[in-house]
Amino acid sequence: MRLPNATPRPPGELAELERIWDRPRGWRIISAVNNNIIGIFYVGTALLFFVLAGILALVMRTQLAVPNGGFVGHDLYNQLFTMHGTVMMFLFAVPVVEALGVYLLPNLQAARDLPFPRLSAYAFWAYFVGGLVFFTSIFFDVAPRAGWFMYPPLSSTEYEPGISADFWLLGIGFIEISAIAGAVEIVVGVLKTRAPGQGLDKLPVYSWAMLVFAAMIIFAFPAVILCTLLLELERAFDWPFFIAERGGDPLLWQHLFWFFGHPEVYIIFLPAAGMVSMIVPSMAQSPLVGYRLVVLAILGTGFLSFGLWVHHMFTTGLPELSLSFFSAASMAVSIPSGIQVFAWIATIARGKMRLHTPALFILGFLFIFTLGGLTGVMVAMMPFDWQVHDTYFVVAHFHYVLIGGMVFPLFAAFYYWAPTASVRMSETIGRWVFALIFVGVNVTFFTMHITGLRGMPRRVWTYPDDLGWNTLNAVSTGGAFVIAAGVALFLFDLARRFRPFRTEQPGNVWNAGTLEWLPSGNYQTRSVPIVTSREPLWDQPNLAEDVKEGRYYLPGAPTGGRETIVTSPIRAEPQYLLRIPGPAWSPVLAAIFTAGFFLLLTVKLVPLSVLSGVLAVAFVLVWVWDTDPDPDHPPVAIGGGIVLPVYATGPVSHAWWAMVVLMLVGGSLFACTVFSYLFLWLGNAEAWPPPGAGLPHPAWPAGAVLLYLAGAGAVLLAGSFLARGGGAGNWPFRILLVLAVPLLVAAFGADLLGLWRAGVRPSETSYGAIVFGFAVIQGLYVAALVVMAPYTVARSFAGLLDARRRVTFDNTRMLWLYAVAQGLIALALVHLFPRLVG
Amino acid sequence: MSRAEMPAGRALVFMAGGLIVWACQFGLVYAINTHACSFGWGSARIGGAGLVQLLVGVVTAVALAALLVLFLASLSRGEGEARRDPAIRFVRGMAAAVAMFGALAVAWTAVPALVSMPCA
Ligand code: HEM
Repeated sequence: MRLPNATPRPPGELAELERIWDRPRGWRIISAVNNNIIGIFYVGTALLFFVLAGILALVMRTQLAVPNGGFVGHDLYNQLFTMHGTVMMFLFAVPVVEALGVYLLPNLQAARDLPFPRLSAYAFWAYFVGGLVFFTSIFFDVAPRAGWFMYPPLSSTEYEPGISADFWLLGIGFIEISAIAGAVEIVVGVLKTRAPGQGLDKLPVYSWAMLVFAAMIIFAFPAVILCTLLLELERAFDWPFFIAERGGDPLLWQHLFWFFGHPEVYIIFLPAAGMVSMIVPSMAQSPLVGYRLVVLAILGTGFLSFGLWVHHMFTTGLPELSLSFFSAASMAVSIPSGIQVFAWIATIARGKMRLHTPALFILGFLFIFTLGGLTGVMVAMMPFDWQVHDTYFVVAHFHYVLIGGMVFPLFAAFYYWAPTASVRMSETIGRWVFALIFVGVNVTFFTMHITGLRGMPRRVWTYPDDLGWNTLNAVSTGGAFVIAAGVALFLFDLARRFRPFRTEQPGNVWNAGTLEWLPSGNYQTRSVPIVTSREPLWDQPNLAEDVKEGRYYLPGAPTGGRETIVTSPIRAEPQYLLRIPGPAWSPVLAAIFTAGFFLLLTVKLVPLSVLSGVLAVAFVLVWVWDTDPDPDHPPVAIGGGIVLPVYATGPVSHAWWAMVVLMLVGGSLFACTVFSYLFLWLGNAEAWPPPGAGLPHPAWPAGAVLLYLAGAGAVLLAGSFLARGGGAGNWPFRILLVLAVPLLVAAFGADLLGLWRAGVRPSETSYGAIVFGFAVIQGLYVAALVVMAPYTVARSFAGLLDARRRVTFDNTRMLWLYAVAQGLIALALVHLFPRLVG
Repeated sequence: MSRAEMPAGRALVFMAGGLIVWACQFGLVYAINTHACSFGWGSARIGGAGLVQLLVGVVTAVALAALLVLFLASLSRGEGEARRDPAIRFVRGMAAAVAMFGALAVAWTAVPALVSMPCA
């Protein structure tokens, strides 16, 4: 095959590339945005939370080591298990897999970076600051104590009057937003920034897993964002979503929470499985058996896991029938997991497994996860679940699944991929780490199955000495310290050897087949390869050398800045060159102030919180200001006769994809709100709306509809003026866009006013609460557009917006139309639905 | 961009179509049950068959028909370059497999809803 670019390359080309991608030095590294720096920060922070939550677990186990223990009191114990569960699930498990995605995906796909590096930086810093502050609540005795799933009424004002539940609600709600930001990045990254030729049939399994992972976040996390929002509204303003006396229903929380919570288990597991599918072939030196089946299994798991949400409520008295088909769904989802396990075993059998540390962790994973799966099938049987519900059997089960399903693959991944960032970790120490963790986990948690069958309930801070649980608990505690020793040894080795952000690398130490093992620098690979197989390094001779010498695409930086090739989602054909922004402080500051907004709100410092929010928005605007570069740059040649434009709008562009993904997030949030409305209606169908809160006169919603449509019309018309180009349409464009804002606000206000005048009050009944709940959701969009419209106009004044350079306007318009559509549906539901059923 | 590239969004939805159909069926079956039990028509009968079972049966039949359509669509091999392109062939193959998988999932969801008594 003739390679796209001839060598030797012009002198200075490489130096220029290195200069452009150079990392900020010293403490300025905080402003770095590219994935191999942010990715490492991100993984490191997630590990920190693993250690912190692990320490909380040790405190709990120390307390439980002996009966009638006096190490911690019951109130602190409640805080401990709540924080341990919450931190493990929200601050460790999800972020760590997302973090690895940020770090690995561009490597695996030979992209120079993810499409929105500043968004990754924002997501990371928001998580870092928010997470750490959230964690400190345990030192001030204000940590939440209602368990990691925070069921109301236990978490309602009545039983949790202080601010500890607010910490959870605002802290976690906010960290979920950061997770969503990361998911947007990952979807667009996987679909649009790949090595040319890396069509969907050659996509690494890990990329598939991350794609489905991100899609699951997009559909599942809005549910938890909504329920935290509703509960916070209830706590702050007394809107009774979950208070039964006023028509609310605590089960609503459980539905929303588990709609997220069950997929969550697979959200964590899928990326881990994706890692295993990369590591096993490399350790066995043989391609993965059943690639297509594995991809099918990943897709299947992603979908089916959503069917499981009621699974967690077997004992809440839901009608038998719905229970039995959720039970069926629970079992069905184990089938795709089984397919993957068989694919790995077959690969191991076909190749020749080398038992390095990553391979040991994989074997440990297979063992522990399979056991966890077995007990999972057991708890999926309803009669059994009734027996063991809320005992240590369940604690044992989910730790087997979580630790087996994600912690072991994660350690395998650390050991496996460490050489891409720094060095290969010590093999001798690695074996000890594995042995300690493996033995520790089994000692701790296998024992807990028996403790559970003997009747010990979970979440108890101590127990009397005559129930036959003493030895079992002592053994579990011993095991926990063995795990801790393993983790400590790992950290020791890490501290001793791991030095990231250097350029010298050990190379392809495992003789792996995928692109992350190409020689690379901050700019990733010197040139971007054409991929013709799933394991290019095994099948394309001399690939590493050719890439390094710059014989493939884009060996330099033709636009003089950071750039990456955008490819088509199915076949990965080059479409255009994306110019990506470099280091900046604005995303960091925006993240800090966003965190400030939420955390200050928790401690009820409202004015400061608002100030922080305003600053956050301001810094976001600063950050996006220069992300829509000049479209007049001439197209550039990347080699092989391919000349790519450096600007794109519409459905080929990465911005368009990101907006579509964002709309899906919004749609999912809205769908959950509709579900909540209907759910509350089901419980109050005889009084909907309740007496005293009539439906407004139809003139109000009708007026709102007209105003919404008028506003949307103005935006569309503005777009057609913009498209005329030549500057003539500038003024009509600006005027129309500015005019559209009051129309939107008036539409929103008309609806609210109508409701208010009809006597609907959010704090009186669940009806009022959910109706105003819609207004809160819609208000978020209205507020966003009130900022975006003037911003767009400002760009027009600054000469940064015209018929070609129009991404800002396109995005504003898309969001606008979405908000109007959503507003109209909400109006129909609130005003027409009760009239139809009443 | 060459003409053989499918519109990407559509291709992705097509590929996952079988499971999207399942998700709709699952949601509807769940909704039918919940409503039946909340409003007390769980034991209503029409011509000997339970109303709930009847509705679930209809929804399931429609879902299976949709899956059949998807499956048949995935068998058409396209023309010219699209016929040979491995990525496009992969998408079609995947769509077929997902449709079959979806059919299994649909049946799996329907069976308990059809055989057990609602709202017991
Ligand atoms: C590494 C060693 C670990 C140990 C020794 C450990 C220990 C414990 C203990 C003692 C409890 C409290 C049981 C009770 O009183 O009911 C607990 C609960 C929990 N753990 Fe772990 N754990 C570990 C790792 C993990 C990991 C890796 C995760 C998740 C990724 C996790 C998630 C949870 C959750 C969700 C709960 C339930 C909290 C609640 O009841 O609200 N744990 N764990």
